[in-house]
Amino acid sequence: MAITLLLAGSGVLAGAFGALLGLGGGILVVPVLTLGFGVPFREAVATSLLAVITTSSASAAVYLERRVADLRLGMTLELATAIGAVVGGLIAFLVSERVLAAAFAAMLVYTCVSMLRRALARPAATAASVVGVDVPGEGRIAPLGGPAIAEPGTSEEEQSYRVSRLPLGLSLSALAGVVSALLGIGGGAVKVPAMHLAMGVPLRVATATSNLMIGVTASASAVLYVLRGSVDPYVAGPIVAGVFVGASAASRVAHRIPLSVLRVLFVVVLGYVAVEMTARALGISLLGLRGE
Amino acid sequence: MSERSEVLDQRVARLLGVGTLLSLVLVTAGALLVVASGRTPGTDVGPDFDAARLVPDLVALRPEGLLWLGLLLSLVLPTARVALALVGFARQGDRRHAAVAAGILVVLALSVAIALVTR
Repeated sequence: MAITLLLAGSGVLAGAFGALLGLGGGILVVPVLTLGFGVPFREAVATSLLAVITTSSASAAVYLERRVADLRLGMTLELATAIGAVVGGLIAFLVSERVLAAAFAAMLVYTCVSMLRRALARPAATAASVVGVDVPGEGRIAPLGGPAIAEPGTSEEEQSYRVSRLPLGLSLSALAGVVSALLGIGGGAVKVPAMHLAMGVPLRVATATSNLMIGVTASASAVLYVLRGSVDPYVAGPIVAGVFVGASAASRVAHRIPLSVLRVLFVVVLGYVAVEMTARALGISLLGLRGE
Repeated sequence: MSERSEVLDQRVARLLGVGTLLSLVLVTAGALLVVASGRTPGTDVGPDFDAARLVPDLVALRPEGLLWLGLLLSLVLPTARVALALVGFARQGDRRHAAVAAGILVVLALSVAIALVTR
């Protein structure tokens, strides 16, 4: 019973932390499972993908209901992310788990550094701005890929916009699919900038549409993991439920958390996880945590 | 956004919302059964997915039956969403997006086929 509760509790924390920072639960589920519970890396990635699908579907329902997500654009880009995800899922079984762990650690370091730079550049930003992108004119932060409650209604700009550079958007979406399948994350960190910066989609629409796309992206590779026996349902079940609960709760209170608290949490937790994952990739156990 | 597009978006939203809720109920029930059965995740490894065992496990109220049904429901929900959108686009006469939706379904089916052939 204790382990099941620990798994669920870990899922809640991972989901909450991911939602507070706008990163999605996936970025912490993989290290929590590999470092904390000794779960093999591929199994951790598969479990993370299942958790990401669940939270994505829930938030996408809200975004569609409130007419913020662009279903047509999302599906057009999904064709590319799905192909990328299948390719990534196949690659995941061809490379060693150490290589995958190293890639994950590199992704964490990149996320840490880029978000710290943004946080230092905007000292007066509001809470939950450590990772998200400012929504112009609203003083709010749109999370990059995690579940969030959509804002009611849309502005005129968000209702009428022209999508440009679709080929570039499709290429970046394919890359997001590969990354998602390899690392067990939603890929929002690639998709949102691709839509907003490369294709001219309003930020809130890009964020909501990215949330919608995560489901297909993750499921395209998750099915590979499931059918290849890389999912332990006794582990995946509590994690999936926990991540959903944590992400849902945190997205409702994110605006009340002081920025300084989030910044400290961000630096300490993600930085530590990045170090541990790097050590794991090198075959070193730093603090005696369970590993391969 | 046209009224028919809005209606489609609302239907897709409802599918995702209801499906997610159902998936979570099943997964949570399965996790509670794991606890009740005295199994320890990590030490006791849950069985891999086996379609032939799903119904017998559900009938016997084994935790893996509920867990796998919930996880599978979550896994197929995005595919169901694409299929619903395909029907909606076709009814609207939006051939381009209907073709895109059909393409996504082909890729997802390919993923399943590759997994079955290579396992």
